[in-house]
Amino acid sequence: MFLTSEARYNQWVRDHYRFLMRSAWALTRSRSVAEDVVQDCFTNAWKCRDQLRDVTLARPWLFQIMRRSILRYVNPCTQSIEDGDDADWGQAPDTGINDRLDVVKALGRVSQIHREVLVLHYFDDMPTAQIAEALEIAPGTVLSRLARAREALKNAMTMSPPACPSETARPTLGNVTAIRRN
Amino acid sequence: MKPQIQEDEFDLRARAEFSLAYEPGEVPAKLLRHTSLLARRGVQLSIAVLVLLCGGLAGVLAMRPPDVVRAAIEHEYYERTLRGNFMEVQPLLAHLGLEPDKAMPGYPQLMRPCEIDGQIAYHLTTFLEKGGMVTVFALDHPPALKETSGWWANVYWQVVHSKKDGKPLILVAQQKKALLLAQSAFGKPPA
Repeated sequence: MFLTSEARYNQWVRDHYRFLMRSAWALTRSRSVAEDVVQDCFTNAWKCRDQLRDVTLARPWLFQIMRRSILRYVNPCTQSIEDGDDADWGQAPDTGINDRLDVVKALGRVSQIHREVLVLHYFDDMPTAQIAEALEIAPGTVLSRLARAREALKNAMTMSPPACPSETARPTLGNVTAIRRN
Repeated sequence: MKPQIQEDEFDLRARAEFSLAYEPGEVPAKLLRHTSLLARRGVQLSIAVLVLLCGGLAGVLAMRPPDVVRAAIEHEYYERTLRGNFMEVQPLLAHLGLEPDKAMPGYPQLMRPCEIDGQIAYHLTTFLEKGGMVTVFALDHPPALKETSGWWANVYWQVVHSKKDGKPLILVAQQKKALLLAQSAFGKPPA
């Protein structure tokens, strides 16, 4: 069926908003940052809407755009997001629920590259080829990275959190909090 | 292709816990785009084309001469290169509303009776000095035509009323100057 580019875009928003919002939230550990990132993602997707050739790859394509938006929120020197409204190492991330879920807490403790592949695998059950597309890596790398990420997640669940966040070295992108763009 | 990972209880638990976390809510309305109909480029383009077409059509209709004049213009086009005297000068002068004892204005090239729009017409093509070639049509039973002029089918045309009986004459020329001279030669002088 023929769809105007606006109708097609609105369809993307309806189909992929929930997945992107959950992924961004898990990756940034902040709902407010995730909202900004997702909005940024859809703005960029609208600008580049003609670049998507295969509509079946819309979700990995949007994730790819969102991932780049997240990187823009990250300080490139420290590889962490500065200041914000979010939890730190010792606390559960802002997941939107009151219960402390071990796996969700542990997700906040693994590195960014592992978190990305875990989010795509567990949140969306995305096929390897699409994960590869979304992360811009080879399919073989997806499998090995996913295996390592699962191990990292399991290890993070068994780790006890440090007593004081300021006295402990933080993992890469472990503490993701909001930074507002100008 | 699904990831070839042997899933176990840990994966089931992870999926279950993740499904409870990060509830994003409904799609915010601000993310959806609603361009108004008039702001759409296609609609704007269509309106512009429609306005241009309507303007062009109105222009064409405004320039369009009466039926008999258009038939005369077409007739002139097909007989533009025809030369010869196929009728006497005096009756033609009479039909053109000129005195029969006067000379034909200019240098006559073609004089003949013909048929325009289903009725007898008298066709004079003459060369007017300092003006050029002009064709004059006098109709046997002319319809009521106002004194007007215009440009149609790449020629200038004018309707004048004859000097003698005020019958409408149709003048056709390729140059406007020729019409001015023909008007003074065949038409009634302004009151």
